[in-house]
Amino acid sequence: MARALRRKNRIRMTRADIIYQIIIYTLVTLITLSCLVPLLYVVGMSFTSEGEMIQKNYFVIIPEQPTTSAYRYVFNQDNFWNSMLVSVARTLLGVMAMLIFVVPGGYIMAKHDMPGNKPIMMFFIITMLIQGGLIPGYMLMKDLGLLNTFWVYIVPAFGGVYNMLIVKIFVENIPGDIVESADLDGATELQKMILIAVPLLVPTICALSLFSAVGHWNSWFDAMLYVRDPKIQPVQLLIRNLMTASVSDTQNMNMTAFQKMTPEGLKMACVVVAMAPILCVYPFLQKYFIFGMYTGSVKG
Amino acid sequence: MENRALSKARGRAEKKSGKLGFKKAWQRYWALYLMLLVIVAYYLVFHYTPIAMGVMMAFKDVKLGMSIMDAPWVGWENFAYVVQDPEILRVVGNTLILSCMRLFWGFWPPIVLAIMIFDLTSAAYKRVCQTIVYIPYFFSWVVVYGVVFAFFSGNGMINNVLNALGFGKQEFLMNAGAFRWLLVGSQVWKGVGWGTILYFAAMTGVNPELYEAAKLDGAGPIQRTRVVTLPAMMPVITFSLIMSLGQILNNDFEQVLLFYNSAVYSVGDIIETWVYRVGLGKMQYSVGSAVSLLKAIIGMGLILVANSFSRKVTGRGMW
Repeated sequence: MARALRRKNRIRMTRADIIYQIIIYTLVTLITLSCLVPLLYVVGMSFTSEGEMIQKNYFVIIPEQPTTSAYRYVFNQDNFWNSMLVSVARTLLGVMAMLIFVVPGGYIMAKHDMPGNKPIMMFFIITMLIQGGLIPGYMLMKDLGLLNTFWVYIVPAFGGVYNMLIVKIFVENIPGDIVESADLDGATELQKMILIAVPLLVPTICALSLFSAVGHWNSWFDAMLYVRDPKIQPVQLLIRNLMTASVSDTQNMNMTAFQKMTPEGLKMACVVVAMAPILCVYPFLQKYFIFGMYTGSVKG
Repeated sequence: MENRALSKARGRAEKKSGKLGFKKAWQRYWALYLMLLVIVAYYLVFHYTPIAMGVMMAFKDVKLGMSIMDAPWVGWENFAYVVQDPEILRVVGNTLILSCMRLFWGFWPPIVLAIMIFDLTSAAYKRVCQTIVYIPYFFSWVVVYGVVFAFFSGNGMINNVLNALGFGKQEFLMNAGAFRWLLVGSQVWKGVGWGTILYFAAMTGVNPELYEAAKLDGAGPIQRTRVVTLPAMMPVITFSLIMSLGQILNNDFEQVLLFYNSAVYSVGDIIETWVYRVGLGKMQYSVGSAVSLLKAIIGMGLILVANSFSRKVTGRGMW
């Protein structure tokens, strides 16, 4: 049926339709390539030796003698493996910290017969509207003794009002019948949350976790702000320091010798290493990401 | 059967009519209240305390090595300084210019791209393109900066092409004229594909028969877009436009911090980077806090106005 319909469509294509299709196929293809080609170029550069670059005045698209020396150099850095470990650890713990507050928080927001429900929601939403800002945030971390520790990545990661509001919508949409049958069995609220709501929320929880994980993997500014010790810097900050080393010398107080004066190929190898994990998991998790985006948009 | 319908109705009535009594609520929800206590305490420490600290610092003169409590009150002095200082005024100007550019270039490209991808005749090609254009959204700004660097640095791709064509080399990353466009361009590169998702959701809801009918009436592809697709997308477009107007002061601070350097401070310095570099870096804590506070209050006003406006116009808000 669908195919027959499509065939009918194709027959009815007017001249204007054909021109339109040619234009949009061209434009969409160009835009798609503009997302893909830069990545391939970066990968190509990462396999180019410094000698070849200088010889060709840095005009290399496909290296003639590909070399993995940049990667071998990166992988042999103690700093590098350390920062990978820090990034993985903060991603895992950060996601858990988020969930621990977001699931009960959202569940409570959805319990409209709980006294205090409305003011509690306002209490949380206010923090979405106004934040203390950079300087008080820094002072607070300093006062709490979290500066220059690994925990400075995790402790502020609890909660998240936007995510709570998403959980709230999904808890509200749990069919009343299911809850009532649990009530008949004499389930407590805690049991209802853990045994009924959480299993039904699994897709939502997955989507929220993925976005949170990407956020943690990609973040570098909190490390730059709060952490001096190169041993607990995440991999994104390591690469950032490396990249900016040649452009400006004003902002890199905390760099090792390895990060200064880096050849282009090495920089690009680092960029590839930073984006590889995302590219590896993305195809498998794409549908969850899109689901997450839809839930965000359905909300409200 | 009837019973269940009845209890459902009662449940609904209960939901509407309001709350349980405190005693009953405690019996039923005590565990949730205990959890809530922990979460609220956390939010008081990590979200409300910084707000209070920021407000206090803005009205005090805090110097290095001084606790906020001990610092002397100075009234509106910091704010008086803020509204007079030419550097801060320039930073505010930069913020507004950059915001407007971002708003404009962040707004319409996803709509156009979504319509184009949606109209492709091949479903398989559609899916491939969607998958690829989403990818840059998931890269960190550090990776995006790396890509921009590969193309726009002194030894980058663009310069090599210019060089081959006989033009001189240009340091785009240190060029004040190019800097804003680099920021906006890389933002579009990162976000345009992902931005289409919202609009796809609206377009897939359109009844295909409407397109057929428009076609039968002799509407060309552009007219079909105008008459069928755009009206269906209108609520989402309105909603996202109003929301981004509400967020207009919130530039992507991490991106600017990553891209800029002393050669482009004159155009690239925005409120947050200034607060970071001067307020925190040069220990002008109080002036920095005053700037942050002003921005936070104006930003909050904008979001509240945008939200209630959006509720009126499109029937949906952020919460």
